[in-house]
Amino acid sequence: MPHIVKSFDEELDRLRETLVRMGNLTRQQFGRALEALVQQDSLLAKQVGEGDGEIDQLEHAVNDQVVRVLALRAPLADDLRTVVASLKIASDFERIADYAANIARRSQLLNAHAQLPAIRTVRRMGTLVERQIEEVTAAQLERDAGKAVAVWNNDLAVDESYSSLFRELLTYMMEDPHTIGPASHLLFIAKNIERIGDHTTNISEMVYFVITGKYIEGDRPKSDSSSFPNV
Amino acid sequence: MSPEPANLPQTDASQAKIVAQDVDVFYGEKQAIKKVCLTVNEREVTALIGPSGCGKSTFLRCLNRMNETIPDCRVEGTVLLDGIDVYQALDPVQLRARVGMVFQKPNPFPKSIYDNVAFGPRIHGLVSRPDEVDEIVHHSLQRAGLYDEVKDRLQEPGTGLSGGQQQRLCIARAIAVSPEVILMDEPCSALDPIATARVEELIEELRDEYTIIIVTHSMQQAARVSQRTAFFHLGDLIEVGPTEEIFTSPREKLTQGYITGRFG
Repeated sequence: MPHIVKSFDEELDRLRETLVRMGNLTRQQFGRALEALVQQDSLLAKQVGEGDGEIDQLEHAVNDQVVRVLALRAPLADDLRTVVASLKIASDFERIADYAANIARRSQLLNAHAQLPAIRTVRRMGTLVERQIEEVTAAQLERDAGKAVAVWNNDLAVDESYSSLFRELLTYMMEDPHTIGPASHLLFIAKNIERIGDHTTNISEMVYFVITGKYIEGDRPKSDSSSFPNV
Repeated sequence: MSPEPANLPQTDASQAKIVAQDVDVFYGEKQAIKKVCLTVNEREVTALIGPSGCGKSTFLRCLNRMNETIPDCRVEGTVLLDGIDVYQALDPVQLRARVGMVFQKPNPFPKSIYDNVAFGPRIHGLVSRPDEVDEIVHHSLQRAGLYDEVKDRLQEPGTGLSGGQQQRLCIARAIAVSPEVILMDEPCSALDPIATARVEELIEELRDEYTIIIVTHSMQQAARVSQRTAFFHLGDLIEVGPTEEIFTSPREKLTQGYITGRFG
């Protein structure tokens, strides 16, 4: 049902649009950072770094729009949840984009070395997370609480992927100390991807809250070794 | 509809002060409220919200039998004050001393500020000596946050005060007879934001001593001042619950539509 005050609807629509645009752009940035890493494409990596500013601007736009709606409309119930969650979601997207830019920067350093076979695992993990971002953006757009819960549950796969990558990289480093440099960079990249997964999970929680007014119940499935993999 | 948890053990803070059971009100043939069941907890502020004509003021007036002053008005069902049926077992004058009321438009008597506050205690025979009257007048004006502003002109007419001051004078007048419950029917709708803030602050202070029921059209005001909120629509009580829940995640679609400004 629309609001009696049409401009209130327009403001909420604009806020949603800005957020979806931010989500799409963030996913694109992350996808390009992965590609630059896998393809050893320094030019693309540079472009990712340059693209980060636009996402920062979108976050500012979301902040401004939220403050305006709060001040003018004093929103309540689902409107209030939408507005407050927008602020948090925008902040998560901004962090994801920062990690993407960081991955792109590190990929440029890695280009000086021969590519490690572990890059395949990194790519797999990255693709998984990219799909998570896509799904959470869709959940938000389609107001699909089930989809948000699926994203929340799927983060387990990302954590497990990170654990196995950690062990894989350690093996390389122990076998050949010359790989310690590139393997460390790759490890940082993997950690960034894992953090992106966590921010995506945060977004899924917010999307669920907006739709249902409740928090997702229960402990998020987590492999015991996700944050501190065993050596 | 949300059933009241009447069977749950209650703490002092949530003791039922007023219990309305299956209350119907008719104005002639027209039914204004239908089978309303609502429990009002002691020393809490309960806000009644809903679009114009939804029955919230009618319901409020049932609680101290003010509807009886309206010709053709008929009330059915039960209203209990501390477990006592207010329609069967209480005299309306005594009832209204226990359940005071503040109206939308400030309505001081055409008397001095002092006499406005002293009027109730005098007719109810609560005071006999002049110093007792003085004490009640001072205490009530102080409690209503008005004393400092009027202490040098207590003999001037109450109608000479500003709107916000008049409303606080009416609150002081209501307090003077030591009521247990104060009903407020849109007490701030004729006041500017500063006077509104003063009355809201006063409601917050009065809460530790009185049970307050407030009808308001301002969603933000209901959210700010009350602990529980009841939403009325076309004579039905649609939803009642903790204010925070009603304004962040109401259970009923109608409530959500109303408080977010989608109909009304």
